[in-house]
Amino acid sequence: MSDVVTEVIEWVKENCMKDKANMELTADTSFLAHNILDSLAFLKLVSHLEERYEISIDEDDMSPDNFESATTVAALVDQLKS
Amino acid sequence: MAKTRKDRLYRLGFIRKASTLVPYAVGAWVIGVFSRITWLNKFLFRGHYQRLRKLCIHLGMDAELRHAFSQYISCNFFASWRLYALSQYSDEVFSKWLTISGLEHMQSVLDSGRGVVLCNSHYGSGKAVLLALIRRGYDVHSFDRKNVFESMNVKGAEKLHSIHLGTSEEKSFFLKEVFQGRRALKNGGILHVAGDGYRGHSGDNETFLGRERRFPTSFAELAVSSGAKVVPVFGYLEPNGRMHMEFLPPLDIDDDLSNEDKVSTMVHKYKILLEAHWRKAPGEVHKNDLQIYFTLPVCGEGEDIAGKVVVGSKAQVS
Repeated sequence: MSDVVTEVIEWVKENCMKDKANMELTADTSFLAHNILDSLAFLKLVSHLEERYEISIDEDDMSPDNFESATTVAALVDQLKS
Repeated sequence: MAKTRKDRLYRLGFIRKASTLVPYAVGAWVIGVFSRITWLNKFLFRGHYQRLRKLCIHLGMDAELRHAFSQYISCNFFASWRLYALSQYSDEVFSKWLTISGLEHMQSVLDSGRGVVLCNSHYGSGKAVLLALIRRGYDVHSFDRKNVFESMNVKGAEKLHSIHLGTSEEKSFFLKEVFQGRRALKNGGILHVAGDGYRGHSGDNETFLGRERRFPTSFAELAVSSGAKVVPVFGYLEPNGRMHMEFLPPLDIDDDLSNEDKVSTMVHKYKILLEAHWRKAPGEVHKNDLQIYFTLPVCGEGEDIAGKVVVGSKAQVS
């Protein structure tokens, strides 16, 4: 599991899963299907990743596909870092 | 493709034609007369009448039911025609039918360089606030399911920047839209939102007129994350068709609170305002919101209901 995937999972667990403590969150758990993050939480995640990895996420990249799971988010971050 | 009856009316140009043929003063008078034919409207809008009656009884306002029902009919069934008809008039005529108070509350925030979350409600003639602002030259971003002014050829329409949310059936991921809204606020602009919407899964639970209701926190969270102020606005519709928009002072919160507490405080303060308006004029409540209200869980024994503590058996309204 990449560092970015781990970072995303830890952030989501800390900020979005207070009422889902018993739920297992894996790299491929769907954020949307399980209503883990709402739009504002996604926005906060974007801000966190931009600050953490010194990247800029364009609004055109803010698609459901890119934010489906920790794996897809990490893939977007890796793409922007390179 | 047109999905609702209103969409079909727009496609046929019915509302546009009706507004050009019927001057607003005449149409407003006719609507006023029609809305006061209680026996007919009780027949035509039976379910609506029953729900409004239940609300009036709950609020201790059953003596004012007749007036409230007349107000309800005027508010809920001719709103699109009103907006379209008014939008065609000159500024001079427009300002005779739509007045504004408290605009300085919003302007002072804008002058300070901060953004404004203009928190509207599904109440009265609230939708007309967008028309009023763009006519005065304000650029306004607005979260909307659709741009209601798009087919109206409204004067100043280019100043309304709709951030389309679509319908619940079409989409549920709004990251890009929320990002656009926050960007507008960070740039010191105005973002128009409804504080009493029902979309989404998160929010703060509040006791609202004796029922447990979830209030979305989005308007407050956007304000906190962008440094903007929340300015509530309410629109009122008089029996003669005149509308009044009231801008209230920004929601006051302690800067020392955590962000989470700031959000909760703002939502709670907004809830109090909305409750007061429902109590003051139940006839101005929008029909969908009234319908949803009666599906909400009733608050239990000992909880605050309509401003009074209930002792003994659970208060039942439904």
